[in-house]
This record gives sequence, C-alpha cells and structure tokens, in this order.
Amino acid sequence: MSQYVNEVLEGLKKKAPWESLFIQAATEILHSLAPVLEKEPKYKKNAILERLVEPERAIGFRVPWVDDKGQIRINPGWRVQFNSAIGPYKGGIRFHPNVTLDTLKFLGFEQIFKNSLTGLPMGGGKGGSNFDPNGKSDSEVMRFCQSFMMELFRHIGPNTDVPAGDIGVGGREVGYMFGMYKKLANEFTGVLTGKGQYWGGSLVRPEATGYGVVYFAEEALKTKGNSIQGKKVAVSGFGNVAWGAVTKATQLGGKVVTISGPDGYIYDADGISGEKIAYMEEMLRIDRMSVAPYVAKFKGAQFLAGKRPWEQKVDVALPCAIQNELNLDEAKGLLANGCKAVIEGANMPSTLDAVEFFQANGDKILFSPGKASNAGGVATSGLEMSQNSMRLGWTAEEVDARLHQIMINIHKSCVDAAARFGTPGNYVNGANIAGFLKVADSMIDQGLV
Amino acid sequence: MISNEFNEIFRKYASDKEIFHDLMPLRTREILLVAPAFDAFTLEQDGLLTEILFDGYYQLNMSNPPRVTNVSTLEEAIEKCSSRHFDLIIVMSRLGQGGHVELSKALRKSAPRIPIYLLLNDNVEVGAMDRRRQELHRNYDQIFVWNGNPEIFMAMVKFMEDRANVENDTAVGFTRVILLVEDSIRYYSRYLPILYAEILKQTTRLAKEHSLDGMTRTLAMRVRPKVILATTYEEAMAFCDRYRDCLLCIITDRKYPKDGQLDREAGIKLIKAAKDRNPHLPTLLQSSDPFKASWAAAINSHFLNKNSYTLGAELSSFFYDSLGFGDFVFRDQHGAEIARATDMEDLKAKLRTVPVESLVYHASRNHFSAWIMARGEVQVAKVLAKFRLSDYRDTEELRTFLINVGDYVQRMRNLGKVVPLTEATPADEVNVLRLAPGSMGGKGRGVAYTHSLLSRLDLDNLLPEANIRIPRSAIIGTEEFTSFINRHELRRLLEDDANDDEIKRTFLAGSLSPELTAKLRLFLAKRAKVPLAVRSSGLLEDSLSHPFAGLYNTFFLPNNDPDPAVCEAQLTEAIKLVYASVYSKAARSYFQAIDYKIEEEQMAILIQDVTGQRFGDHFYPHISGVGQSFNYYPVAYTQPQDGIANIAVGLGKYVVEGGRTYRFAPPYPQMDILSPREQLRTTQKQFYALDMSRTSVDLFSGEDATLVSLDIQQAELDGALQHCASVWDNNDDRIRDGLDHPGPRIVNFRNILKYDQFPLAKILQHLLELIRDAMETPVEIEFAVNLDKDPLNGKPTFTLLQIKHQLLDSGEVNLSADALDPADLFLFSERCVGNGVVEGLRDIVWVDPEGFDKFETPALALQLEQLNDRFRAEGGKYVLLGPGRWGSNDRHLGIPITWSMISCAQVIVEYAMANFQADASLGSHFFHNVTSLNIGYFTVPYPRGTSLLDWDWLRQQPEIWRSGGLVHTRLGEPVHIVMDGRRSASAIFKVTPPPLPLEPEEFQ
Repeated sequence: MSQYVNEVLEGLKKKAPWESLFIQAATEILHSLAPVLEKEPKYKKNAILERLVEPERAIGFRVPWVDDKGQIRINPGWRVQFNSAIGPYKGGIRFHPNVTLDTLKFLGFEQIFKNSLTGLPMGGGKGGSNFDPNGKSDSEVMRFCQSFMMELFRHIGPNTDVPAGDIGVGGREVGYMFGMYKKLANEFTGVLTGKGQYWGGSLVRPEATGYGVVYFAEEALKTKGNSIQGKKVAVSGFGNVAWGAVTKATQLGGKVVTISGPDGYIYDADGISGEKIAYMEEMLRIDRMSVAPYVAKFKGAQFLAGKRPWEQKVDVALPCAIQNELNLDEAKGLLANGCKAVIEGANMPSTLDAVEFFQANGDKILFSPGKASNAGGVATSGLEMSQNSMRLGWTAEEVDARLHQIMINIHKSCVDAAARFGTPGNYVNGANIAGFLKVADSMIDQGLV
Repeated sequence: MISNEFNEIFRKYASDKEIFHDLMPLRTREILLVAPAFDAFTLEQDGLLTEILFDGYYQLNMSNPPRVTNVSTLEEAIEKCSSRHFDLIIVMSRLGQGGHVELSKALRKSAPRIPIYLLLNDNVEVGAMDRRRQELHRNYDQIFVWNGNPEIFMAMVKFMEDRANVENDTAVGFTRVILLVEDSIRYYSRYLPILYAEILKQTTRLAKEHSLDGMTRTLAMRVRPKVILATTYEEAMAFCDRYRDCLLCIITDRKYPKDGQLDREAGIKLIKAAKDRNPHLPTLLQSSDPFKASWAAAINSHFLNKNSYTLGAELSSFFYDSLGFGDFVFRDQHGAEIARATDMEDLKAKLRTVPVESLVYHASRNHFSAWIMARGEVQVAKVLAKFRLSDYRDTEELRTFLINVGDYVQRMRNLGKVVPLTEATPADEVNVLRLAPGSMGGKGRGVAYTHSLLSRLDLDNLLPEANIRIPRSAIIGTEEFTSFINRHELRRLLEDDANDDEIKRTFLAGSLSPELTAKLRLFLAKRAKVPLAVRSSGLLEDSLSHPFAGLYNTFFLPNNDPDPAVCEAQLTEAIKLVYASVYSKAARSYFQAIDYKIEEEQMAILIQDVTGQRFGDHFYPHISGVGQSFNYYPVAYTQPQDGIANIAVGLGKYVVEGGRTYRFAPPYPQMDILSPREQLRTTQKQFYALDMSRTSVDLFSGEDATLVSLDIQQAELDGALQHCASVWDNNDDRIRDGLDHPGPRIVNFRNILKYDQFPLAKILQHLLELIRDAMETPVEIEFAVNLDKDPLNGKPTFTLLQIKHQLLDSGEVNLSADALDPADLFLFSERCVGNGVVEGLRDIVWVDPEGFDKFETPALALQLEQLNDRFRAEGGKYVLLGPGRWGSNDRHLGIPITWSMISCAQVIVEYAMANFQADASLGSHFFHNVTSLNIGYFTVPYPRGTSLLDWDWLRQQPEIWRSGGLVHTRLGEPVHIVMDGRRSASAIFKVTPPPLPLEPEEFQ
C-alpha cells in the first residue's frame, strides 16, 4: 500500500468526511495506482493525487421552476468540472432524487479515467440535480431543464464542457437543455452529446457498447494468437449491449449460442445470426422481461428457465446483462469448460470473488473489466463531439470504423500499462493505470494550473 | 302558452329528483338526551332509543338516522354542548324534581339556536304543569308527554325537522302542509306518532308502487307532507294564510283558545273560515264527543272520534280517500263517482274517456295536482296547481294537456329504471330490462344504479365531446337461480363434494324455466346481433368486506351464428355455467374461508352488450380501464383524493387481471407517473379480444373459450392503436409521439391524454367525483371507450360498465400513533404506501444494521436472490427489511437488486441509519409491481421521529439462517401488519391482536 495514497485519502476524510461516496471511489481507484506511484516519484512531487481529487471547479446553483399547478419549486443543481487535462470536461447530467454533490464528485472522478482510456480528448465532469423526472409532465420536465440550463449555459461550451445524458436524462431532457442553450448562447454548437439525430446526434449509439466489447475481445484474443472467427460465444442479456455484441461477434465470424433475460437463457446451437438478431429487437418489443418467445419462433433452440448461460461450453463469454450476473462457481465452470476469454459488457457483471478468480488464472483465461471493454458508449459520445466540431455527420460505417480503432487503442493502452507496471495481461490494473497516466502526465506537462 | 310555461319551469330543474335534494335541508343528525339515570333506565327497558330511531328510519328507507347522546346531569349536558353540535335537545324530567327549568335556561344560554323539547314523564305531570305553563313554554320550544310509546321520539324528531324545513320545502318543492290544531299536550303527544306513521306509510307505499329505485325512494320521502302544529285559533289562521297554496288539509280539535279564551267551537270556526277561502280543502274535525260528527257534516268536513279504537285505520281512510293517496276517483259535477283510476297508466286511459265536466270538476279543485303530488311528482304537481281553468282555451285543451302530463310523468319515470321485458318494450338503450324476478345481485344493482344516475346527470352539457352511456343490459333476477337449484335438486352436489366438471355437467343438463326461455328468445329477437357478456351478479358480490371479484364466471358470446336457435343455446349454456360457478371448488373454498355458507349466495345474471367494435375477426374496444376515486399510491403532488385510472387497449379482462396498464391521475393527465424508460419497460404487450371467427364455442372449457390474447401489433394493424401508443426511439433514447417512427410501441395513450384527442381524463375526473359523492364512499368504476365516432352524432363513446364501492383488500383501517402501545409494535412508520391488513407472515428477511458494510451491498444482493428463490420454490412470502433504497442502481445508496430478486416479499421496508441515509424511494423503482400486487412499502427514517423499529425484539426471535449481514428469521407466531393508506401510516404488530372479547351472552 502506498503511503502517498494513504496520506491523500486521510486528507480527504479529514476535509469532507461526509462525502462517503466520493471517498470510497477515490479509495478504490488510488489503491489500484499504487504500483505506478511507487515506481514514478514525479507524481508525488507534483502532488498529482492531491490535485486529482480536488475538482477544478464545482458549481452549485438554484434551479427554480413552476409546476403544472402553478407552484414554485426549487431544486439544487450542480456541475462538477473535475479535470480538463486532456480535453474539455465531459460527463453526464443525472436527474435523480438521490443526487447530491457527493454523488456527482464520485461519478465525476470515475469519469476522468473512463474518458482518458478512450484515447479521445475528453476531460472528466458530472452534473445533475435531485429532480425526479418520474411523476412529471413533459411541460414540467421542459421548464426544469430550461431553468437548469439558464444557469449552466455560462459554464459550458463545445470547447469548455460538453455534458451528456445519464440516469433521468434521455433524449427528451437533452433536447430541452440544448434548445435553451442555443437560445441563450445564440449559437448552434455541439455543447451536449446524446442529441437527436436530426440536430447533431450520432449514429450507432445504441449498439456502440456491444460493438466495442467485441472489438476489445478480438484484440484480447489476438494477444493469444486467436480471434473471434469460428469461436462459440456466450452472450448474456438481450438489450442494446447484448444486441450490439451479438451483431458484431457474428459479423466477425463468431457463433453466438446464448442470450439471456430475467426469465432464463436461450441456447441456440445453430448460432444466433441473421433474422434471429433482428428478432432480438422484436423480442424487446414483445416483452422486455422475457427471452422465452425465442424458442417458439426458432425451432431447435432451447429455453433454460431460471438459469444463466455460463454453464455452457463456450470459447468466449460476454456478460452484457446486469451487475453480479456471473459468480465464482460460474467463473470456475467457464474455465473448466475451456473458456478462453471473459470480456465484460455490463458494469461489474462479475462478482468480486469471480474477478479475483479470473485474475488469479490470468494465464489460462483472458479477463477484461467493464470499465475497459464497455468504453464504446463513452467513445461514441466523443465521436459525436468530433462530428459536431467538423460540422459533419458520419455514416454508420464511418462511426463503426472509428469506434473499432478506439477500442484497439484502449486495448493497447491497457496491455501496455499492465506490462509496464509489472502485471502483464491484467486488464483491471492496465485500465486503471492507463487512464491515470495520460491524465497525470498531461497535468505535469501543463504546469501547476 | 301553457306548454311554454310548462317547459320553462321544467328547465329550472332537470327532474324532480334534483328537487328532492333541495328539500329538507335540515335533517337531525345529533340528539342530546338529558335524562336522569332512572328515566334512562326506563327507556332502556322499552327498547334502546337509538334502536327505535334506527328501526324507524330503516323501515321507512330513510337515510342517516340520528345519533343519540345520553347524559344525566346539567354539567354533562353543557359540556357536551360546548364540544359538539346538536340539532335537538330533549330534556326528560319530572316537574317535581327541581332544576330542570334552570337546566333549560343554562342550555339555552350555551346553545341558543338549538331547539329544546321537554318530555314530561307521564300524564299526571301534564295536569301538574298547568300552573307553570307560561314559564315552561318560555324555556322549552315544545312540550310532549311520555305515554309509554317510544315512537314519540320519532315524532319529536320529525316534528322538529318539519318546523325547521317547512318554509324552504313549500317554496322550493311545493311540499304540502298538514295543519294540526290541538292544544292538549297529552293528545298531540299521542296523535303525532300516529299521524307521522300514517304519512310515512302512505308515502312509502306510493314510492314502492311506482318502483322507485332505492336512492330515489329515499329522496322521495322528503317530499312527504309536513306537519305544523297550532294550539290557538289565531295561530292556526296565520298558518292558513302563510301556506294557503300548499295546504293539504286541516286536522283540528273542536275546542281550544280563541281570542284568549277557551272556545268550544274554535275548530268549527276555523274550518268555516278556511273553506271560505278554499271550499275544496279537505278538513278533519276531531272530538272526543262522538255526537259532534253531525257538526262536522254540517260544515262539509270529515270527523274523527279521538277515543276511537280504530283511530289509526280511520286516519288511513282519510288519507287514502281524501288526500290523494288512494285511487283517483272521477266524479261528476254532483260528486257522484263515475270512474276510478288506480295508477298513472289507468289515469291516462280514463282521461281520454271521462266526460269533460268531470275534468273540470277535478281541475277546479286541484285534485290532479294533489294526486300527482302524493306520488312524488313535485314538479308536475306544481305546474298543474298554477293553472286555473281560465288558462285553457277550451275544455279539450284541458283534456289534451292532462294526457300529455301523464305521458311526461311516465317517460320521466322510466328514465333510469329497470323495466320488465315485454313484447311492447322498445329495445332501445334507455332502459335496463328485467327478464326474471328476484334480486338483481351486486353487479345488477350497480348497473341499475348507474343507469339511474346517468339519467339524472346533465352529461350532454357537462361532457359534450362524448356519448356517455351504459351498455344495453338485461337482468335475470335471483328467483330463477333459486328455482333452478330447487327444481333440479342441485344442493346434493354440495353434499357429494362433486368436482367442478361434474358440477358443470349437472348444471348444463338442467333446464331454465319456460318463462325465462321465452324471455331470452324475445330478448335476442329484439336486438341486433352484437356480442354479449353474460356476467355473474351474486347477492354478495358487492359486499364491502369480502371481495368476490373473479370468483364467479363471466362469459363473452360472439352471438353471431346465423341460426337464432344456436345463439339462444349459447346464451342458455352461459347462464347455466355462471350458475354452476357458484358451486365451484374455488367458490366453496372461499366461502369456507370467510365463514359464509354457500347456500346464502344467490345468483342473478347480467347480460350486456360487449362494448367494442369489430376489427376483422376480432371484437374489442379501443380502451378499457378501471378508475378509482381514491389512490393509495399518490405520486408527486397528486393527492389520494385525486383518484387513479389504469387503462389498456382491448377488453377489460386485461386490466382487471392486473395486466400492464397505463396509469394516470385523472386531474393530471399530462403527468407521466413513470419515466420514459420505465414506460418502455412496463408497457402493454398483449391484449384480449373476442374471437368472432368461430360461431360454435365450447363454453365448458372455461371463461376464456371465446377470447383470444393478441400481440399489441395486431391492434396497430387493425388501426386501433393510432391514438393509444407512441414509439420508443432507441437511437435518440426517447419517446416519439405518434406511430410514424420505427421502434417498440409504448401504449401510453399520448394523443388522448396529452393532446386531447378524446377527453378521457376529464370524463373520468367528473364521473369519479359525481359517483363518489352520490355513493358517499370511495368508488371504483370499470369503463370502455370506442374512439370511432357514433354515426348518429359524430361523437366517440365512453361506456360505463360497472360502479362499485372501492374494494379495500382487507378493509379500511385506521392507525393512529397515539392509540398504539409501542410495546406491541415491531415497526411503526408514517411514510408508507399500501393499504389494508396483511396477516400470516412469519418470515422476516432482514439486513442486520449491526455489522452492515455499505460496500458489501452487491454481495448482499446475491444472497438475497438465492433466499428469494427458495421462497419462490416453496410458495412463501416474507417481510423484507434493508438499509437505504431498495432497487437503486447505485450500490452505495442501497442494495442493488432488481424486482425478480425480491419478488416474494409481501412487505418491503427501507430503513435509514445514522451513517447510511438515503431519501425514501417508497417503491418508485418497482412502482408497477408495488401497485399491481398491493405490496406494502414502508420507510423508517433516521432520526426515527414518530417511527419505531424494535431491533432488540427481532434479534430475540429464532433465526433459521444468517450469512454475513443477511438474516432469515422465522417467527413462532405471524406478525400482524396494518397499512392505513389514507394516512400513509403502517404498523407491524409483534403478534396478531386477540379478537375482541365477546360480550356476555345476556348483553348480546
């Protein structure tokens, strides 16, 4: 354990002991950087950690609005502009009753490293309010978003801070905020991402994360002289991420044999491809809680109620459903069945003991944490910024091609960082360190600002 | 001219029923009885006073009997008066006992506007009071004497109400007035109960004869004649002047004071004076001297011997023959009877034939008006009374006018009524038809009431954008069921414990009565072939405490076979199968569980047109839904009283069975209760329709034999989804209104609720308010909407299918923190959603706050899922307690579970700790599950405030499993959980409270 890390964390706890979420996030990330900090004294000398844990700017403001009954309502609003060492602040806006400044500092801090990992020029930030979009009319949501932007607009811009959507902020909310920004700033610029397709939004957003997972898996397999081509692939989930993963894995020559839902999973020995992929979208339309209808449509497929796909003998596992969907026993089962790679598409789908098991068996099985392999979504936000700056709208193929390159870069950054700091093949360490290095070195380059 | 004026007056009030509401504005609700302990005991011996009033009111179908509060001392009386409002104070006292005058003075001072009546203990007291008469009259509004007949209380109450209301009722409702002139306390104390009993009896009889529905009958009682009492000649004459146009009759004693002296002929003089003004005014002279009958005859008055043993019967006769309560007797100009009409139909017929002289005879004496008034037709009577003979151009205009009045009265009466089906019955939708006698059952009563209610509301003006109606309906009363069971000796099936198939086969082998079969044939022949719903309507089906929803069968029939005999056979089969469902295993088990006997249940049948329209081989409405006037799960700024509606595409079966409906508060249709993503997750995917492709159906296989469950896409292909759905734009992460975009459909009725394509929210808001006010209780309505415009008037149609009391799963509960003993409680909180009582839960799954590690929440989630799987396998339910917010995506704010991981939790508690506080979610993450499954969702905040959570007690209970911070405790005795939805308060009692001790037998 690095003494330097402990000192910084103790300082944080003394300064703002009530910010428990932020302290927890900082603890997890800084501890993973211990090897770097011990090897490279320049970071301590330049007080990089102390500077990293302090946001460059945290703006708090009042958001007054009038509800449909004519009553005045007040919510707090925040934008935490955490770090702009490698590019304009970039990070979502969250509207949720639980949002506090502590929440946003926690999320904004993690965002610095996620964005850095993509290789795109995006700093880290996060914003939001404790406004609950549930139980509101469109008009109320619009009035709130407009009021929120009436203050925020003076702090953001395409070259300063580019917010995106997050929980409680979808296309509708982004639209209302963008409209008010445009009016106040009197300019049409790419100041927000997640915009509608007709007014600056990018293509390939829903499938980007799934595509990215497969590109990452392909790169990881290559390190072992392998590829997706001809491999049996288990995918969990059947939402956007899974849909993208199945599509791209099939395009790259893999045979996807599973998808799953809350009710169980489908095993299709013939592979899920062609019209079957199209039917995944149809299944979402029929019932978002069930994959069972698949077997009624495609004979030969099996529906295994209440079970998860990891019991199948596959070469590659892509957990793309939910948190904690792959436990230690299942991790052992995958390895025993000869699985060569587990590449996470969801956020933390593997339980902690399963992650430890994969890392302990890194010589036999490739394991990539979601923070590295599911960065395709964040990357596409960056690509939307790029298109806006260029005043161009790329085709789906162009976005896909750039996404592919980004994932190759991410993978390389992880591998290089892991190797450089003594844990070759450890994508968990590699991801944390790679994200950190770019930011930290940029901060040193730019001097004490 | 006459017609114009007639119409003008009618426009003022839509119907008599509205006038009824304006009558008797003062009704006695609270009575303070001041009686010494001994007198109170005497009353108890004669029957509880309250019971007397209750019985009196209910026997007469009068609503809201007054409450009696009994006190025995002056201090108590004054204290009560200072803390509560009373409408009437009755002081029961003996003159020999000192203090009662002081008592009345003190009461008068503390409650100056409240009438105070003195009730003397016996007739001896009356003699004794003469010396103090003036003093007593100064201090009491009226004096009565107790003669052993408890009905005096009823008379005192009615008398007080009449005195207070007569001014209003005569002005507003043209209510008739009976002037009673009597100065003997003893006699009017005896006579008033008899007089009131007679008035109420006659009014009730006529209301029943005219088949007024329950509510109208109750209201019609308000139009009964009012009684005013005079004790002197001058007072009587003053009343004669004041109520000249409304005076129904004068009942007078012979001797009482006139000009300050007792006048032995005062009654004679009064009658003469009154008849000088109105020669046709009925009068009744009363005397204890039977020889004075000749005096009465001399002045053309009726006579009654005060001491007659048949006083009641003679009074009845007077009412029946002379006051319009009996037959209408047509007389010639000499008074000789020439014809007699028993009812309105008969009257109309006779009006066409009797000589014009007879019409003139009765019109000039206002007999038509009086006769019609006695039958509750206030408005018509009022109009008739206004006209004089000179107003008619000629006598034939008089005849035509009277016949038209008869037609009008009949038409208005049938509006909103259940009428028997006959060959002559027009098969329009104005009436609910009766196909067999007997009770209409719960649903039948609801439909009849709805029909009556809608006919009274001015909905065309209130909600002009839509047709609002009930489906054409016919009711088979319970007598057919009883006769079916008896004829085929079917009760033996209960003794034999037959299985459901055997029961169905046996019932199907039976035959309906020939009378009903003929009626069914006529019923089918009279209407177009539209699909029919054959619904159960059990006597107990609208019981408040025992929800019977879904217990009995409902069948939908396509009713489209070209052969009428096939349609008739299907209808007959459906009726018999609904009957069979009373004996089904499910019904028997349910009856056993609620300690009822299945023999107590009787089944009526409700046959209704299915609301909807044909789309190819399917038949369904655009929208079905359920509206409730009270919402136990209010969100944002909505209040429970704003109500809630759940709507879906297709037949209402989907909604009633808890399908994925769209939920909104009618006053706030713009508000999305769920966020766009949640709407996508929980949107409707299937719907029910009636399968019209098959003419032959196998009803034996069950209620669903004629129904099909279709993908929502079919509704879009049918064109039924146009205004009912939006699209999820996956690329832009948002909802797009309209169906022009590709993508998953979200059935959220945007065009209707957000863009006013159809005023559904407005209709629901109005109807729920109106019906709630009419039924004086929270209500639930089922409805369906056809958006296609009715070719007759170009409006879409909203059909009200059912009205019922809003069922509470386990009854209305009332929790008050003050009334609870903390020692009995494991938990109490005032931040809860849910309503009712949950019993039988012994399992508590909880996260122990001691040793809870907020960074281990993902691991806890996994353990919880495994535990829930075990409950699911065993079919068990549990109480779940955990820190922070359940279901938060953020693992630092609570345990990050999805609904399926805790699906067996019946009650969910989120508690806060000093170092772990998150704002309450009140189940918003699982809103659909929580609301549709009536899950209790409690929040225990930190600091606790009024809340309570007894960890020490829980830790002492037997743990059957513990791993890390997660514990599974199984209690020896189940906890008792009470959720007070109105106050958002809930309590978990450590043990089920023992039943209330039974009263000793002698007090039961």
